Parts: sequence; structure tokens; C-alpha cells
Amino acid sequence: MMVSRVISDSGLKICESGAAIDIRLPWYRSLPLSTVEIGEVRIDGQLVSPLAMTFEVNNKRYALDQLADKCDEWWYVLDSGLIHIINLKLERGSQHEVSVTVGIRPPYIPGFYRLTECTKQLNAE
Amino acid sequence: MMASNSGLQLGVTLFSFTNEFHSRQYTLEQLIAKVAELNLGPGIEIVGFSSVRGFPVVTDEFAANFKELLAKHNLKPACLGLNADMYKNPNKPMTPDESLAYHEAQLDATAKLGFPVGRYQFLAGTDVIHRLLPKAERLNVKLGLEIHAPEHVNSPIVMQYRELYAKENSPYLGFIPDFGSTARRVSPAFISYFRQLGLPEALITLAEEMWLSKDDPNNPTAKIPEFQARAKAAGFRPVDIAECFIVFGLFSRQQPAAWREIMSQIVHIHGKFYHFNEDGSESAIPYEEILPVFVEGGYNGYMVSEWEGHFLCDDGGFAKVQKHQELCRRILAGCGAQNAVTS
Repeated sequence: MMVSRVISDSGLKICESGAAIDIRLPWYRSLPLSTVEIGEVRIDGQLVSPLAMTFEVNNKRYALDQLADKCDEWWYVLDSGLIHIINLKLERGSQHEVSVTVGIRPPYIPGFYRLTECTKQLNAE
Repeated sequence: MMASNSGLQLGVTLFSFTNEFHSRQYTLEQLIAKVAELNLGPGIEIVGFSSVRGFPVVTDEFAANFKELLAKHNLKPACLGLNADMYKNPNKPMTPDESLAYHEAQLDATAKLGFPVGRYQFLAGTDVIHRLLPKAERLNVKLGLEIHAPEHVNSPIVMQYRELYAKENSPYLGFIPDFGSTARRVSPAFISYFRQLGLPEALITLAEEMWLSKDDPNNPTAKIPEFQARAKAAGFRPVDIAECFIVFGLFSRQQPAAWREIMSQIVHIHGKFYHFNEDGSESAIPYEEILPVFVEGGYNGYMVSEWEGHFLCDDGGFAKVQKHQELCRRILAGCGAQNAVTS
């Protein structure tokens, strides 16, 4: 089921601003960002503050609380999204338990809210 | 368009291969080639917002390549799935004008890709469909309302559309049965899935019992809040209740013969399925009873195999669709359908 693909295999990346987690949309079709919520993110059990994260889709980065306004910015179903964690320093090759919760509200099913939680052991690459 | 006496023809929606596509194992081109290789056509349905990047915008290049691809493999465009994304802004539903424009763009895409039918959803509303009709006629694309569980041919919302259809009397207004609404039980595939998730057995039993209890034909969605309330009162966790309530939205138990009432207006069919018994029959949806109704009713059009099991497991869809079509061919041959051998 798609839940196991929320976090991509080899999805923990070291980048200039810190670290990034490669995630996938847990639904069969593209959705506007306004219907997507990035919920709890944990690295090795430690909750990451939402203020320390941004979310990147289509080469654009958003603060997590900006997503709700992005009614016309689409997350195509085959694309990865990147959760950037600012200033998180990871050693290349080190292993970490990464946990991400994503909520979606498919816009054609009023009142339906689906929360998916995915946890993987990943090496920082 | 399909010849008027073609009978019930088989096909497949690429939605059945959500696992293959979403996991990036197959591209759209590869899915179509595989469908042809396994002879799962000739009818092809796609979901616009899934198969087409940038939908409802379809570039000339994409449209040309797509049509060429189908032609190369002798496959026929059957239906494009449109979505009524009324809650693109979760806090403020689209106005009727916005919804009309949203559907118009998708209808243009339907025509551009060569599909004769656009599947639409209840949420579109009768006023929007009424206003969309002239464009559908101009583009030569039929609008098909998907009758999906828990709704049925006589439920209040479907009756609103039937009244509009009676008034307009246009061949461009039709219905698309989804056979999840003609089930006789909750699919055992879901029960196993719930157990695999570790949901409490008593909660699963409550869902099954309530599903089997008497329905209110005038309020098909009534059981959803009722189940949620009873499960909550019994102390089950909200997250478990949220997993379980979906059975009331995927399965309902209209009698197969009820489709006769709207037979002449049916423009396409979703052959929904999840799981098979050892003898090859679908374990919740009685195809043996359903298909003869369509053959006897003189239905001409496609029934696409629609496997929704990606919701439950990581299995691929190809083997499942093959099995579904074997079952359907067997039943169609048994009731003397003209296409049973050739399709």
C-alpha cells in the first residue's frame, strides 16, 4: 500500500541548509498543496519543530503553514516532495530512524481526512 | 464511438495499476504496452489527474503521443475520469461558476485525448452539468455520472440527475455504474486488511454487522456517522474508526436488477473488484448475477476492470485484472453475449 512509499527508500539527504527527506504523495492522483498537511516529523524519535522545516514541490519551497493557501499549486502524483530540515547536521553514511506523518483531504470527498504515518531506517546520503 | 450493437466490451482503467505507476515501476507508455501485451483491452480508461502531468492542461504533444500510442496497440479510448474538486480550498467550496470552468477545462482535455466519455462525480451538481451540456454536445463527449457506493439508482442525489436527464433528453447525459454499489458483503480483502493492521476484532464485527443491517434508501450515507458514533461510544480509538468506516463508502448492496431502470442511459461501466474466491468468482460482488442484467438489457459499451486493491496491499494489478476478465468472459459466454469470444 502507498503508506510504505510515503518516505522514499534512500530518502534521507544531506544538503547545504541541513537535511532533507524525500517523500511521496500517499494517493493515486495529484492533489493541490492546500489539501496536503505535513504532520509530525521525527528523526531518531526526536520531534522536529514545524518552524524548522520547509516543504519543496515543483522547485518551490514553502513554510508548512503556507501549504493551506496553495490551492493552485499541484503536487503531481509521480513527483517527490522534499521536507527540508534547516540546520540539521547529519554525518554522511550514518543511519537514522525517520518518521513522517502526512495528512490529505482529497478535494472531491468532503470530510474525508486520511492520515498516513511511515517510518524507515535510512542512511544519510 | 462504439457501434450501437457491439454488446458489452471489456477493457481496463489504468487506476488498476496504481501500485505499478505510483512506485515508478511502469510509465504511462509501459502500462499501455503491457495492457496490450496481456490483451486486457480494448477499452482504456485513465484518470486525468493521475496519468497526465499538468492536467487538465493537455499539451498538443502529449495528446498526439497518447493517441498514437493507443492506436499502435489497437486499444480504444473508452473514458476519462474527471474530478469534482469542489474542496480544492478545504475551507471554501468552489462557486458554481468556478466548478463549471473547472469541468469545462477537463472536458476539453477529454475531447483532446479522444475519449468519447467523461466520468463525472456527484459533487459536480445538476446545475453545473446542465450548463456543461452544450459544450459536451459540441465536443461530442458524453457526460457519465458515476453511481458509486453508497448511492444507488433511486437515491435522492441520483434522482436529481435523473430528473435533469429526463428534462434534457440528451444522449450526451448518462450514467456509469460502479459495481461496488452492487455488493452483497464487505469484501473479505478489507477484513483481512483490518486484521493485518491490528484493528480490534469487535470493531471489525461492528462494521460488518452495521453494513449488513437495513439500509435507509432515502439516506444512503446515514450509516457512516452512525457507525462513527457507535464505535466512539464503545470506546474504540478514532484512528481505528477512521480506517474502518470506509467500508460504508466503498460497498453497498443494491440489487443487480436495479440497473435495468437506467439501462438505456448507461454509457460506461466500472467493473470494480477486490478479491476472488477459489473458484474464480469475486468474493463480494456477484458478477454472475450482475453481468446477465446488462447482456439482457442490451447494453452497448465498455466495462473496464477496476481493481482498487492498491488501497490494501502492494500487489501489482495485472494478474488481478487478468483474473477478473477471465471471470467476466466466462460469465458472458454463459449468457450468450456476442463479444465473449472476441474481446
